Amino acid sequence: MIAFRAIFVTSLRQLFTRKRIIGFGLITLLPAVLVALIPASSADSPEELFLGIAVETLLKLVVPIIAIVLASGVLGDERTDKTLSFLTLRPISRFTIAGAKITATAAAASSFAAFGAILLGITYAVRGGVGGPTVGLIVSGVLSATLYTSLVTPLGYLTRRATILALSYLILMENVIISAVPAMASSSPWRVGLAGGGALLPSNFRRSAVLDTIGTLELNLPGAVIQVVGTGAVLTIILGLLLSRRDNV
Amino acid sequence: MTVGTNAALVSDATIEVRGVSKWFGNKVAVSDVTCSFGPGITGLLGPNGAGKTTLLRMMMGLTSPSQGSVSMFGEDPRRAPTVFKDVAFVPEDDAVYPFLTARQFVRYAANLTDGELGESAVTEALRRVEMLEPADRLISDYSKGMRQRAKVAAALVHNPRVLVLDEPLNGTDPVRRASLIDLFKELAASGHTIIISSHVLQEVERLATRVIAMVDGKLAAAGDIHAIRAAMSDIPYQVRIDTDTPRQVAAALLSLDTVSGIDVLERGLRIETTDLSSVGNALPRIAADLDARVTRFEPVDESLESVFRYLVKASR
Repeated sequence: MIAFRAIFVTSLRQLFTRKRIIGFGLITLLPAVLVALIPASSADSPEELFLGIAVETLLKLVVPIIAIVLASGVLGDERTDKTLSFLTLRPISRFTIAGAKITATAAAASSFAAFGAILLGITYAVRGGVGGPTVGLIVSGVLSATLYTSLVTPLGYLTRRATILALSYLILMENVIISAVPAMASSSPWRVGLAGGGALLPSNFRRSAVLDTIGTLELNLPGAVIQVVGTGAVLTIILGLLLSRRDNV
Repeated sequence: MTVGTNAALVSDATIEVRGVSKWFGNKVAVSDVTCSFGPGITGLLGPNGAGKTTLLRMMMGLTSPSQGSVSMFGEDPRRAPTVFKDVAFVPEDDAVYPFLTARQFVRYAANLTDGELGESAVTEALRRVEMLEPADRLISDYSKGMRQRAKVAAALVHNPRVLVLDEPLNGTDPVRRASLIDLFKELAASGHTIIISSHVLQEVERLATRVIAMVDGKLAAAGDIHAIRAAMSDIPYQVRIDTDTPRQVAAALLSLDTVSGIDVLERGLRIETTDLSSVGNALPRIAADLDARVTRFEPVDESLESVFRYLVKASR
């Protein structure tokens, strides 16, 4: 447990560089700025406008980009900086290293997602919006961020092109192919997140057509949490095995 | 001195390397090396690119051998990470976290190795490498030598029985170098197994009594450092001498027993000798006797690489 905590805390320090805090902080402002600037009359209802901006910017763009960048670097940078042997030449299980790294990255990406969701909720409230969508958005963002980081962290260990590969998946697979084939929605992390967090949205939001983007998924928080935690556990095991068997070159 | 035979093995081995080879595509980095390491300091010596780092990485389990096997305390380090309770590695690379202080870095190493280690172990490790004073500054502000010492402190914090160091004295100033050498000797005297790789013969001479020498991925020599030094005394060195009277100087040099061959060049000579110093001592007298002007006296190829190549050739 001491080793897990040590890796977790050091990884957070590694992830939260000043540049990233400023850069990602500014990116997470974008959805709130759009909600503040776009006139309410440009959509059928304020809820429709708000949720549309939240999904199109925060969940489909900001959260995946931040999670992908952080996850591809959390072990990838250790390889590049030659510090990976500092972790692997220790009397600790490789699964401890994998679990601590994925958990720390998920926590870092989730904090940015939650920050963006809170800013959005505040802006909505300031503009006189009805109902409290913030909790639902935070949960959607955290679930999405966790799923992206679980998937991309092992990829970042395997290849230096993890960021490009993951962004290609986001753009081509999630936003083109899965949009056309709704039955594949469960392989889209942001849709899984929205399905989980959407269940917590007030009823005036749950009628929104924007929620149709989750395809064949249903608004179901426990189902989404099980998928996220299960995927995270499986990928932690895979990463632990990779750390055991692959050369630390 | 023996080459590639029993001198590469010790009876009380903590690390054993058996018939290990490693190739990357068509490139052979290490070829059929068998050796072992026990308490005391062993120098792993060889020119850059000889395969020392690859061998060390295989010993530590960071790289899998293409052929052969490695064991540490009888266990394969790739399958039994528990061996690292008693082993520490200091890589040649700047494998440090620049956003940590040296104290945090050493504490991190302690937490990853033995959760029971307290702050006193961290302080003691920093003290041993004389890093207490700058311990609370960020590593990113350190010189290369300070980063090296921080890495050594992190390796020492759990008092490992085996310490493997890849070029540990790189970048350290002469004073710190001397104190690190004393520290390694002190550890060896108390029964630790210390393996130090280096491409600098003089450095290894100061540190180790036993040497494993590698060249081109192969074991070139193994045994007592003094025996290896003695073997080197038989190696013919080529020396370039520039003079305005090459033929006369050549004739005079031929009278020396240690000169085994001479090529007369347009403005000088290329001689072959097994004793550089005797030629160096005799040359001023010869020049004075002949009233010759000598403008250059320089070994043509005295690199460690050529010395070890000779040893490999001699062993065949």
